[in-house]
Amino acid sequence: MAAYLRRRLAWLVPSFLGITLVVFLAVHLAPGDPALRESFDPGAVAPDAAQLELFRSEHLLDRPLLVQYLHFLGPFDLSPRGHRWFGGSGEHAYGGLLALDLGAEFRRPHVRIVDELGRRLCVTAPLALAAALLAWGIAIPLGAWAALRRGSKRERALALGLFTLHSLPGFWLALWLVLAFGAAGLGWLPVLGLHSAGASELGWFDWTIDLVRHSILPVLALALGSLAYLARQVRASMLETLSQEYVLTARSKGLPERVVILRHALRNALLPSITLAALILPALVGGSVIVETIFGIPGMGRYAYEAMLERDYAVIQAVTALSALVTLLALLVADLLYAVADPRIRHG
Amino acid sequence: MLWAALALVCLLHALAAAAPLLANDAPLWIRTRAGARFPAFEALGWSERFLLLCSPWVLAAPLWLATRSRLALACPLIALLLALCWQAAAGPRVFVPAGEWKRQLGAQPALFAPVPFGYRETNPSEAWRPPTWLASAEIDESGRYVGRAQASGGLELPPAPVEVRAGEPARNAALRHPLGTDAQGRDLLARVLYGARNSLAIGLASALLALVIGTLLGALAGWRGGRTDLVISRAIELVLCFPVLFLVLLVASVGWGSVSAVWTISAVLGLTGWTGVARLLRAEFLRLREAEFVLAARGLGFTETRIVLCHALPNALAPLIVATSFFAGTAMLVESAISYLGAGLVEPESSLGGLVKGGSEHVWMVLFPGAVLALAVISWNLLGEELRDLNDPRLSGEQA
Amino acid sequence: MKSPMRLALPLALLFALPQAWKGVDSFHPAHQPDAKGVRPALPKPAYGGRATIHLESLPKSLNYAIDTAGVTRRILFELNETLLTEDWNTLELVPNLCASFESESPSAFVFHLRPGIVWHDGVAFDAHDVVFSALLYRNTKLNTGSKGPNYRRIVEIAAPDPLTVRVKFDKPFFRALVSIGDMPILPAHLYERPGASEDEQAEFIAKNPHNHDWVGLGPYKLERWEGDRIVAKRFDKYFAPERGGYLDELDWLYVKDDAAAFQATLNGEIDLFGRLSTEDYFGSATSSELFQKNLVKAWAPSNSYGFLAWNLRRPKLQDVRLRRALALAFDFEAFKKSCYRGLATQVTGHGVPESEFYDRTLAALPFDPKAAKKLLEEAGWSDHDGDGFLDKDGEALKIEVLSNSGNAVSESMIVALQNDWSRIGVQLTPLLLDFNSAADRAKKREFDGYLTGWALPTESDPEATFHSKNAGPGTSNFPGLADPEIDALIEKLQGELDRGARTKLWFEFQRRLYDLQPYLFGFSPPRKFAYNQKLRGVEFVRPDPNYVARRWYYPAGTPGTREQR
Repeated sequence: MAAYLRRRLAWLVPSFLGITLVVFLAVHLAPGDPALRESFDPGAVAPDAAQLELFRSEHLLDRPLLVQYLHFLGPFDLSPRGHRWFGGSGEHAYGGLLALDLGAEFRRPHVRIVDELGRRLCVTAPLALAAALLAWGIAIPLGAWAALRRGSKRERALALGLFTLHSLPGFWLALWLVLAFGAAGLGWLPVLGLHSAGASELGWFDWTIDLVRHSILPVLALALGSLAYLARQVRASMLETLSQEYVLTARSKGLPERVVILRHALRNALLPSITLAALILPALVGGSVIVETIFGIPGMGRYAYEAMLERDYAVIQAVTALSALVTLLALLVADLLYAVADPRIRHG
Repeated sequence: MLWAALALVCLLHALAAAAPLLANDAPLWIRTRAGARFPAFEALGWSERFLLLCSPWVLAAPLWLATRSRLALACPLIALLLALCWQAAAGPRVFVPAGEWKRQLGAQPALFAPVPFGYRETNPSEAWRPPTWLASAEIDESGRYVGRAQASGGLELPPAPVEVRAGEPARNAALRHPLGTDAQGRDLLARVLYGARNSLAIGLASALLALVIGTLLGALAGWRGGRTDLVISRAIELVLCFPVLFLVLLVASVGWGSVSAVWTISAVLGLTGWTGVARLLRAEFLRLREAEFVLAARGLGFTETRIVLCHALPNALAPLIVATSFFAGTAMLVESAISYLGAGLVEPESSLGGLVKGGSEHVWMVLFPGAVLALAVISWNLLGEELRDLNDPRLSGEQA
Repeated sequence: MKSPMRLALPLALLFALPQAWKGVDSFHPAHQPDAKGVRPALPKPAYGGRATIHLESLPKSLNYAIDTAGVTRRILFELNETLLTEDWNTLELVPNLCASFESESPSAFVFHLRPGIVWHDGVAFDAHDVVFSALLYRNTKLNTGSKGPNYRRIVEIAAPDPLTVRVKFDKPFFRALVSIGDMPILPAHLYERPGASEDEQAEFIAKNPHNHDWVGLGPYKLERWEGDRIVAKRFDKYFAPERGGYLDELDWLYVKDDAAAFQATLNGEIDLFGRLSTEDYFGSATSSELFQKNLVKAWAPSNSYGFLAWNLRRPKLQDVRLRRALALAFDFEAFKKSCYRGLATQVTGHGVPESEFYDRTLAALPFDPKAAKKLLEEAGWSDHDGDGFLDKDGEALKIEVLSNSGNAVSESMIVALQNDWSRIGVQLTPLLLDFNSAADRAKKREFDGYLTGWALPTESDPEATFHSKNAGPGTSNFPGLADPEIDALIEKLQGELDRGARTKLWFEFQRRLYDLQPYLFGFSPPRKFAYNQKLRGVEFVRPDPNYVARRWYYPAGTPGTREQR
């Protein structure tokens, strides 16, 4: 077990570096010049060559790809203002991923990427967490109930409902939620953003209520799709567990049904689903572009998408590096849990 | 239930393949002075003729799968040959603008497709019309909506009478536009049919691509183990962490070139989605590697390749097909989300996601394309579920 | 080659938009004229309240010197002031930050600033701020984008005393006064680093936190900017309180998806939505009970027009007969009806149709597919191989049209063009890309046609867009037009300071440009708005941003408002 763990951890760093390298190459080889980032203006004559050069040299766009990658990686800053060893002026000697300094955005030089990531994570992570808790909180009892009442009419209807829910397109679901609960429908809930105008003047209690009211629809949109899938997973593994001999034994011992279900069957049934739980981590960091666009939430998903559209290399690389790191960790955790459950993989 | 699911999948695909037959602005048959002509088919290329010929075969798939007829597997090849011969016999393709046949139609007898509208055929006088079976879609002779109040304050130009072309149902016929029209007056049912064709094609193509790549790499990783497994597992991690949306945007910005966008998006989805299949197959082969029949086959002196192909792979086939079925559904959802954002298929070739985007304020334009998409995904998921239950008797309810 | 016909004036007036949009609350249901044509009195204004305005894109910063997006300019209309401003109704330049100005010579001006103006942080405003703002365009290390050349024409600028500014341009230029009057003014006490090198100064400006936390001179002061929402509160030390704001707070909220923004407007979360589609304006979305009870729909002429720029470097497009044929083959009227319901003007030149410098009598090319086919035949294009498409020397006539995806109107136009052109045998291959990629290809001139639009002031300098010295790649002269007559007209225009003579030159320029057809000139549609019925004093005006938020108010008696400031 320890050897397996050591092996996997040892590969984490090279994997991560490999991913950042591939994304870096993809980003830089894409057509589109971040230096020419101006929107059109009828008065625009050709952009000043000197200013283009300035932008390029500041962001190392005129240097070879390897140099740019090493600058991104750090810990030495290789720009004209960087470390003295590499020909810079020494003002800003250290930078890059290894120095935990992701620099500033291309399109907004006054915004530090680390600050912006923090702000956006504070929006995306709580929503994703709430969605995960909601999904799991409903899926486990629902799946267990469905396994126990297997074959009954209600269970069949539920299975059909869950199945349909799972197959619906995410953006369609979100659009219907907006149409149903927004002004054109029932009008109960706000459909935009996470705070009303003037929310900062409310007392903390009202502010929280306002936040909760705004979060209901996005969390629902995020949770409903995965809820259906999880419920079916729980049901499937409950069914498998219930047919095991130890359940039969527990029942024949005369234990109350509740104890049989909760302590014996459910616990074991949930074991394979725990590996799924590890996949919540990437969602916390990735966010959903669709939900964020439809509900106007300034989250991580939109941040990455808008940066891609505008060729903001610094942001794309930073966001991808962060989500790659989290995904790798999640995969590691999932595989570890799987190994705990199945000894053959450990020694394979 | 399994056959119902399979029938649904086949029905949807058959309808999509037969789209030029079902929705076309050119008549299927027309009797001119020079004899009979088939304008709807004149505009098709060899691939579309092939799909058309295959559609009855696809529709009948549950039947010949149930009877396990080997002969049926030869049908696509026959269809391909027929299509090529047909294409050669038909002569060079002459482009006819959308709606032109209707304009040139005189008193000649003609037979139109069930949906007598093309997916590119615009009708500016009938933009944004609700489904014609609704009372609110009624339009009078001068082009005004009967139910609606006039509130434009004299700003609007007087509406033009709706142009009803030859071969089309009457202006207020309930089945004229059963799903309504879009911004340029194109019939939504025709667009949904062709959009479904694109979406289903992307689902199927990316699933097949993912299947091929995933099987290859997963089998290698699981069977060989050791260094190969290490390299391939790292490759899997790499692909999992790569942002799919970015790759689609990247490919889109390079420009599709002469390759249709449908194949490019399928390629992207397939190249980023094979990881699930690979991991599955790797786990299966890790398990099968130590199975007794494999040891026996080795003892008999069979080559590794033969063991993998003839012995191990057929055992792993069942979960593979299940996974592919689910992946097809997921690929369709991913592609529709990308198109909804505006980064996928664009005008005039639309997929179902793009159709929803085009009319997000009108309920019918959100409802119908989305419902068809949901139906397609449900059918794939149902098929996968049933196949999975088939393999696992415990799940189908038998107590041990 | 025939020149376009001139039609009689009355007929041309049919193409002009009605004037009903003018006036305060002209669209409000409680302010409509009665049977005698008399409008009821406007309610008495009260102070207080908040309004939220929709933004279709988020500005990168609020410093207009380095970020020239239109949306930044619109926000700064309330957060900052300029030396001169365009009067909303007469469109004349009137003094704003200055009390008066005079021109000493055709290329030299003196501005006398008002005393007592303060920045939002309390520091006094004086002539040094103006001089600093003009001189920073000389800093070659600072990326000021396209405005640089205008301000580099300034030969001399000085502040003899804190309330006087003297400016001298290199030569008489018709936009000299406008450019200095409209110049964005930065607070020198926050942006200037005395004694710093060019590099350091440029970095100080580009990375200045006040690009985000803007300090300006306007009636509204930026309170905070979090994510998608910009919050501004009324500034009580505004130098002209009688022209200051009534509302206590103005919010700008960025919502990318128009449908979501419309839902939010219906819900009451947005008070002014400026991207109402034509379909919604005339359709059921705005005639629902919910809308009628809470919102008002309005429109105002926008200052933009759409066009398809031809790439004159491509050999097949160099023949003007082909370009004219393609214009003759497109049914503009049908498109106007289906896409705009008639509420748009077809443009025939580079200008705003409501401007006095635009010749409204110049008739557009008619819809004549037969004449188009004849022209194409003359140019050598006909269906030699019988496949339904025109060809010449074995090459089929395929036009690749580039545009950005996500714009419903552009997509409609491409579909309509494709249909109309297919009926004369011309194929259109659409190339819809995201904005950045499309702009990139446009700059590299990798297109046959580029479908886009311009947003223009009342009178703009056509040098960047049509002069031959800007015909290379990377500029705004998308066609790469190099016509000596056009060049001569542009140069004469630039030096002509007399309005009447300049108008005549503009009309000649427009005629010549329309003859040459470097663009397939499209439409200038009005901007359509939906706003909260409770807001009064809402007037739509010609200059950007088309509305004046500082004049809005809630009537006296609305809960939460008060009599006094």
